[in-house]
Amino acid sequence: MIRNDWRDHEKFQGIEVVADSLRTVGYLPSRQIATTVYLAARLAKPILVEGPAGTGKTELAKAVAGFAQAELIRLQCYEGLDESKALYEWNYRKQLLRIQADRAGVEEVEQKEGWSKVGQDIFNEEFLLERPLLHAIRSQEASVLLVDEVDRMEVETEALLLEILSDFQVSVPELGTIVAESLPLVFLTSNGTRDLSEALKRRCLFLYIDYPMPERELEILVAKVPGLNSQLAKQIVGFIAGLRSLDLKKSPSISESLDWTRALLEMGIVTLEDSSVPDTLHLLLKYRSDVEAGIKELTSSDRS
Amino acid sequence: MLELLVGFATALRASGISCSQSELIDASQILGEIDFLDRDELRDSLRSAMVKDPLHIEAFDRLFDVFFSLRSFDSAGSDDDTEGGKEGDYQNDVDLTDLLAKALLQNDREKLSRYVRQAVSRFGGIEKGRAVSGLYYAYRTLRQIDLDRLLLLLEADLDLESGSDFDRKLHKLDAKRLIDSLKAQVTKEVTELLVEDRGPVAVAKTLAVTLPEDIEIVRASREELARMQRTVEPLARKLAARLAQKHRSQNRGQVDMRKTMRASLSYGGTPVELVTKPPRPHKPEIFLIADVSGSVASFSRFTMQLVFAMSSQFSKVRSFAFIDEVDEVTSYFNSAKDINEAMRLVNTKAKVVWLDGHSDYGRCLESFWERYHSDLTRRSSVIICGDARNNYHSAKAEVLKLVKGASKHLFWLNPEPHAYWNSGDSVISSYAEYCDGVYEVRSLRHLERFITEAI
Repeated sequence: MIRNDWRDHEKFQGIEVVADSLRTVGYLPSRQIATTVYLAARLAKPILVEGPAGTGKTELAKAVAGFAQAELIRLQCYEGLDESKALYEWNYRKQLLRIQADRAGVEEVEQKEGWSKVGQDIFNEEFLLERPLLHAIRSQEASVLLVDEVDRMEVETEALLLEILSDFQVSVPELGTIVAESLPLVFLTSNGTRDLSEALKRRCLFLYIDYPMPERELEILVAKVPGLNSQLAKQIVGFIAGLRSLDLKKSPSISESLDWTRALLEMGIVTLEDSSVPDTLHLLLKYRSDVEAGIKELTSSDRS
Repeated sequence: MLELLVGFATALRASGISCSQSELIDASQILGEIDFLDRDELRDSLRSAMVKDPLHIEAFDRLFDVFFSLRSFDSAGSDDDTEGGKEGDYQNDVDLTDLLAKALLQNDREKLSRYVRQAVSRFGGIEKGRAVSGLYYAYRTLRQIDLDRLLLLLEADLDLESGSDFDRKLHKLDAKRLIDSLKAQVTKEVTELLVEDRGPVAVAKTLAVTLPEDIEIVRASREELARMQRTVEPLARKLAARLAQKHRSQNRGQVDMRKTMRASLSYGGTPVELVTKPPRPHKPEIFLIADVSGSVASFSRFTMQLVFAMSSQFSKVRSFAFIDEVDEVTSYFNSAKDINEAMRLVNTKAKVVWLDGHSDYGRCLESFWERYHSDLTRRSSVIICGDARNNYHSAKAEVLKLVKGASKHLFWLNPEPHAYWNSGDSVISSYAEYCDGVYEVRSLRHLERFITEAI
């Protein structure tokens, strides 16, 4: 039986407790976020986190690992990721050396006997290279497994995850099935560049992190940027909410609004005005056409 | 509670959200972990277990309101003034608008819901037992509240704090947001009243919640089209990715001798690992040819959305528009900031009308071939969007054969239901002969099917 250490963890005894714990490590969760994390820990389910870039998906996993003081194991996905990089690999080099060493030393011993011994020898723990997924399974303590940007993985490779996510076990043909001792808390993040398979989605709780509501964004700004006065913060939040309501190629996300706020403070700007916005807008918007649209719609300093 | 949950899952499925058995089991397990009398908590929890697609969240929320409204039944007081308050209490109406404004500004949810309840009972004029979706009641209530005046009130109040031009612009946006939240609140209130009256299952049926991907493009309202735009973008990306992917999976890549030699060194010179060259990123060349005539107006708006989304993602998308003359419109899409501007440019600048502005597929295909055939290569995919209603001009389908011969794929997307094909002046079958496939694309779901099946 697999132990679920998360269920009894003192910091997962209620939605409010989770929310407060997240706050202590500097992550301000929305209600939905805290609820989903709480449920994931209670039901031993992975969380699939989706949302636009820069809204704090990866940060969430880090924050949870942070306040629970668990090890964070990260698997960054990319096109061409395969079993040997995600799960485990045999250390061929070491195996090769081992065989050579044997051959040199035990030349006179009967070949047959030697080979069966070697066969057993070179497929054991000593020659197994652990990759993130196996590492998370074999971890003695409760750990947080972050599978970042699952949508970059090819559809075929996605199947790799299925056994781990539902049964928390890995099958290594030479060693048999390795079952987790303590359940890892799994976060999968996705930018939604492609649809994940139904099988994968079905196994997870789903959490969509959108751009934050103005109130939450205000909270985040004030918490993360020391020395920000509330009047400016309100203006910033209102302005950014306005930008997001426009039809932009890339709406500003939290990380960008934080950058912008810090920049404004560095420049000693106390209130937003038509004159100060256009010069700094490129910190917030990453396309020229977006910057133009932002200036046109939200300030009155256009040339017309 | 469990029964309610199962009914809820059934309603979700009816609206197109796939909610599998195991997800339902998860949801029921969740009930044991939370305080399900807290509605927000319940909503957040169920949402994480039952919805796996961000586009479905809105539909989920609406149905959730229908099934799990924990409405107290003490609305006896408000029943008195349902009628009678129509003419006599004009003064009273004004007060209500003021009160609503105040509640919105203070973000006082309790007060807001109380005033909204009053407004609905006074203005909505809900008739019990009628099988309607309630949209009309919500509309009637909102009209009586006088949203324009409310907007002014809100703006004026927000402006009180500080008055620079810049702030004023922001306040306008704030006020709009508040109004939207009021609208949502009113709809919710009306729905709750209906549920009280007829039960959740019946109301869910009349609500007929449609997911964005199921909206029929040809019949979609402007608002719906705008909503669909968000969905089109990922689809466009997917379409282009598909066109590229096919290529990659056929070709595993050449052996990189240098790297293979290097890797063999760690095995004593035996080439154990074969290193291949990374595949060259394939750039799909897409030619989109869209009918922009009046008969497919909202469909062409949709194809334009698709074009716009694709051209912002990929450089090698060329788009063409036609009615009875074809013209390249790629540059309009690249320079335009948003879809509306692009549409305007196409309508005003592109030369798509030759004679009378009635679609002439034959002529347009011919002139497309004449002018652009040298640009077609074995890597180009040609996608034609239109209903193939040719106004009895000659079809000239043989041109399509040439196009097919010069390109990798040739697809036709038809916005008409399959049953109407070849009726009247539709000549789709004569074109279909030369296409790799003709697809009925009436909604985003169809488009998605086209993407996954065809390519």
